[in-house]
Amino acid sequence: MTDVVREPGSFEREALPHLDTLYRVALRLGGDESRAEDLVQETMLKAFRAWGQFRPGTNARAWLITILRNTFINEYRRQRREPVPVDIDVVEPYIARPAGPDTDPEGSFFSKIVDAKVLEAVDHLPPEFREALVLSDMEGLSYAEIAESLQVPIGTVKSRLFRARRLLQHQLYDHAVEMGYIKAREDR
Amino acid sequence: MSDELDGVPAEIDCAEALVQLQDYLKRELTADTAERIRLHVQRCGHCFGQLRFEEQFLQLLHTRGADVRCPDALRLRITDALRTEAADN
Repeated sequence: MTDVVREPGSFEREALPHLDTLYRVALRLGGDESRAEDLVQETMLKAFRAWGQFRPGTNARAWLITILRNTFINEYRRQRREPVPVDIDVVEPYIARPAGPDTDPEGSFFSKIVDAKVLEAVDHLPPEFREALVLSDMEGLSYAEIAESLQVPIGTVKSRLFRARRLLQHQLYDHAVEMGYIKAREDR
Repeated sequence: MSDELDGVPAEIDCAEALVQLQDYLKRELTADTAERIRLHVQRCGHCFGQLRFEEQFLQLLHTRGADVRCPDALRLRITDALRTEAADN
């Protein structure tokens, strides 16, 4: 791809407003603050060097997230202690039944769960599920933007999101039962 | 179906509605499908409950961790690094 010379300051203007998003995504991918900081800094430098390849008018946020994610996969993921990979067959039973506990069918227990517990549960999702969920449900990217960021078809995004949410709902439901926020289903 | 009127999209069943409730709440469905979900949920108490459940769940994620900002020290380090990088080229 041919690099285009951009006007001075255009990178800062387009990219710096996304620092908060990049930092939050890096935290969820990278696992701790110091790693997240290194990851964001490296992402910004790589993006700056590749700025001539960015197509103006396309989505800078999705472009930056792609760089962040590739940097993470290439250099950081092997350093992070990932949870034991979840076999899709293990996830499948959770997909079959919607997680609507009889004792709280409308999910009011969700609001009782503290932030730290929610983030801990998110961090324990398998990486492919976690990144889709973080981008969609915590950072508010559209499915199309996520597909662009992760470089996968939109159908893959939808299916990862559905599984990620179900898995997380079950984890949070079990936590709520454990904490006594709700009673367990009779049939469980 | 007896209550179906001309021009109103055909009703969908619970199984079809349930797997699309999240996408409905995220406004990721076509207008036609979203309308069919809306009509179904209006008429089906079970799916209405499920919709509320998904809504509470998505609301929980949306509000968690949103106040975390890029630390000022990091922001400064990055702008300094970019300036150095620009000066070198």
